[in-house]
Amino acid sequence: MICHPDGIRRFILNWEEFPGPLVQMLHREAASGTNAGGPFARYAARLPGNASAMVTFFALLFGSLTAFAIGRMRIRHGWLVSNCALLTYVIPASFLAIPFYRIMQNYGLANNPWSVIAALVAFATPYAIFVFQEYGRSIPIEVDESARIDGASPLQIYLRIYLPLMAPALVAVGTYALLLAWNEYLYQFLLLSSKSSMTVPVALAQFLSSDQSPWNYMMATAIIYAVPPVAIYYAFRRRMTAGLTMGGVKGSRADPRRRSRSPPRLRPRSDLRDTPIGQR
Amino acid sequence: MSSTQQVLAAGPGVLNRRRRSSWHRHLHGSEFAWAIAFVVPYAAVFVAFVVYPIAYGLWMARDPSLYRDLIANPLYAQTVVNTVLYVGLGVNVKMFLALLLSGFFMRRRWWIKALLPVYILPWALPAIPAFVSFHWMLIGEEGLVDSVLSALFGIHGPLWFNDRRLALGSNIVAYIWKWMPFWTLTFLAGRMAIPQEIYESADVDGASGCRRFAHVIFPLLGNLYLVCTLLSTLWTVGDFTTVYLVSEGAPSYSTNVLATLGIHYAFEAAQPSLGVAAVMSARHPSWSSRSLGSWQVTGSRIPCGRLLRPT
Repeated sequence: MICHPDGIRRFILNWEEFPGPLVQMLHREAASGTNAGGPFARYAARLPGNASAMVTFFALLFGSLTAFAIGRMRIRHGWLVSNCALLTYVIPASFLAIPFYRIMQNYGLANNPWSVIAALVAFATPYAIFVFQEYGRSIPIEVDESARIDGASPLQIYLRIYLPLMAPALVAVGTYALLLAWNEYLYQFLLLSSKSSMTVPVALAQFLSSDQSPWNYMMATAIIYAVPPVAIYYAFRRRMTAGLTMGGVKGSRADPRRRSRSPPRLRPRSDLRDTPIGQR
Repeated sequence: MSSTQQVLAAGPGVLNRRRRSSWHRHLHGSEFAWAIAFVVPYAAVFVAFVVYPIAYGLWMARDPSLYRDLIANPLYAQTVVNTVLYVGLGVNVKMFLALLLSGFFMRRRWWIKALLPVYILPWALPAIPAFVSFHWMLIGEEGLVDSVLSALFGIHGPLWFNDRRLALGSNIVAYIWKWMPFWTLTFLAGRMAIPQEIYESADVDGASGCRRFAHVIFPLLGNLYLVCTLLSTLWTVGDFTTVYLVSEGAPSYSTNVLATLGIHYAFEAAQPSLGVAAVMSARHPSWSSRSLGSWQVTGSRIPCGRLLRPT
């Protein structure tokens, strides 16, 4: 079926529902174990693919815009914004889950995938702002100034100069946000509890406590769910760590800025012998 | 060639001489409007999905009688003990093992290099499949661990989730297994930043093995170790998934931690205010350690960029 062009197109369009049949079997097995019987509801647990892509997109967009305004345009009191953003991490996300559940009902977003996207964007963006600001320090501000003299508007500078130069940091933070959103459980569990909007991790954990857990189907679903993040992780591991350490490590050997700025060491080896190790 | 291209062609070496920007002093008119427009999307998200939930949570937990109810409940006292045990044992054992293992992964043998990608697999795995399989390994008699025990040694393994200490221990072991690779990589980065000359001179002075670890490496990595322990403590206090999936609070809610107890109160016992009060009661230690932690991070120039990971 899948070899047919129409099947391929349908698969690409609905790839998130790929483990759907497996989840159906899960429910059937669990129900037969407990003699529940009766007509089966249509369970459509989907992979959180599109939601993760949305989280990545918005975290990168909002994070880079904010970091650009604070770090490059040097908006007044910008430090206040970035410090407030980091305050997000003062209270762990799991502690905010209960109020989140309530306010999503106030916003009318209950059982709507956008509620999870909004919550995860709120948790991923401060980190993005932090890394972008740190990484942006390695790009000389004179690049922006000369573009400004050429008559570029701030939007043009952001699109044509800032974003291309920030590419390594964007890749690093994008991978981070993608994995964060895909692996997230608590918010998907609380905010997407209806049968039509349920995601695979929520469906998986649902069967954990039943007496007759259909372990074979659960593990098969778990593998399908776990393969994409592991593949992405191993594919982007070097870039992830490279991008993040570029932003974070200062004064250490991993800092590429320092290496590029300092002139090549031409002193003879005998000079080094006299300096104490700690000062080198 | 425009001046932008000239500047880009000149490369970073020329440009870093003058770091003071003149832009911010002349930021007015349309540019100021642009800057505001750039910040507004995130500010809106921050107010709607960070400030409002925090304020709402504090408002929900405002009644002092909630805290009296909590303290009167023996379940809460037990949960606090569990949280302290889980965080204290989990974080410290994990950190110390990670510090030791980072030294092992510094070696340059080919099989050690090949082992590293396998070793970080638990961290790369999503939490749900990892902890679901942990739970499966430990369920009663048909679980993997007890099956192996009876097949190899002919002994009946314990019912892991029927005993509070065993269940708590399973949670802690699963937690350490999941997060140790991340911290090992962090310490590995820290060790890589130590100049090779220091090792060499320690070698010349005859310090090797344990003495090198105690007198050279630990003093150099001490600050990093402290900061990482503080950050990890903070994240672990908010850890929900491990306990919720591995032991599920069994037996009879006696292995809950504050995060799972809060969710239990809010969604199973239908007392959301009590749930918020339970988790908010943990905010004092986490606030103080956070301020200490961030002070340390800004003061010590460690790779904090990769450490800031919200759980």
